[in-house]
Amino acid sequence: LIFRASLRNDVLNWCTFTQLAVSFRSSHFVNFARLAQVTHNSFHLRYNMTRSLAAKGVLGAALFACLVPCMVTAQDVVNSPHVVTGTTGAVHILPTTEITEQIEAQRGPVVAPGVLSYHGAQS
Amino acid sequence: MTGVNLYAIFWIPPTLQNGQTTTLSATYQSVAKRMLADYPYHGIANNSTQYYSTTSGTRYFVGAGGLIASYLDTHAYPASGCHDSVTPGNCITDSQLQAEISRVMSVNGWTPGLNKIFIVFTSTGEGSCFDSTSSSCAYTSYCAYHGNFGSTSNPTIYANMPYANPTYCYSASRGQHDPNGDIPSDAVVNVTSHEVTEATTDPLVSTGPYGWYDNANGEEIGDLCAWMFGTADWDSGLANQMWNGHFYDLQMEYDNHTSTCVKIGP
Repeated sequence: LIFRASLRNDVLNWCTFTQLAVSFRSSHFVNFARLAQVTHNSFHLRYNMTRSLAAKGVLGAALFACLVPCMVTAQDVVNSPHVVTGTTGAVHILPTTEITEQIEAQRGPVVAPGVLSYHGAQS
Repeated sequence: MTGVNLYAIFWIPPTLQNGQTTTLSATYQSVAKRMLADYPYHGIANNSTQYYSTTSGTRYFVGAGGLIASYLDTHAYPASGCHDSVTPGNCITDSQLQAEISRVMSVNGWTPGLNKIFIVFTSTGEGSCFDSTSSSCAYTSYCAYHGNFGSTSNPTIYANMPYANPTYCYSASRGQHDPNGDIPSDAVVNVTSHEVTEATTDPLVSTGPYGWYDNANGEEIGDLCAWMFGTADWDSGLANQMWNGHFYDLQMEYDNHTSTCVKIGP
């Protein structure tokens, strides 16, 4: 309930901020009183967005999303049962028949369609 | 890779590190060399052509190649740098292997490149571990591996092929056959085909930029079909490949178009 209330509060705050921003951008002259009101609301909004539980979750998710590309590369190289790393770098091993069967037992014999993807530079 | 130019190095000095005599049969060496010579333009190599690489905005597909050279290296093994429980007293680390590859390249005037693979075969009784911690070794962890060193723009791409001990690196129970009539030889060509194919489609595994692999498990084209041979259509049910009139029973490779393991590419 707290989460939902916080989320609703954030949505309302965001809508208010958007409306103010639109109305400010649509005016053809600078209304300093209106500008002050927008600035105040924007500040208030930012304050609420870093304080509420839902906002913290959103910010955390955004931060995690930024880190995902780095984590995917590191995870594939370090945690793959086929990659061995050390001081000379990394190598990709062909596990013995016995180890292969252990790997298959963990992931299952069926692999997802078109599962291989290219991880090199695209440009 | 832009091409598959293969260099075979048979590192067979007179003795192992513990003083015992090295052995590697002539059949083992000749079948391995023949498979490498036959590899380009056929079933598995054809499948690899769907896996491109991109350099400076240009997309490259796997090109032509072949067995460029083979070399019998009789330089003594360095002092054992690790402990392989299957070959006590005889063990080569990855750094020792890299040093020997560099030495052999220098002796022969071979240069590195993104279209070359240097494949090192070692003697029976000679083990291998990735490093001196001996936490990942031949026979208890792997049958072979591929990697790279040097600059990423002009890398040395290599494969380590410890003796393909059939106890650990051959699987009759999974449908593997011996069309060449010598199980160690048929074991080594299967393992070698796996490494060449993976080094072709994901050559810079150590430094990147990386090639083709599965996000979930880091599996490359060969890992998804490791020790899977499919139907043996040739040589009275002993082989699943016939290249230049020679028979091989090699693991299948993953085809991203059909999402299956295949014996021949699209």
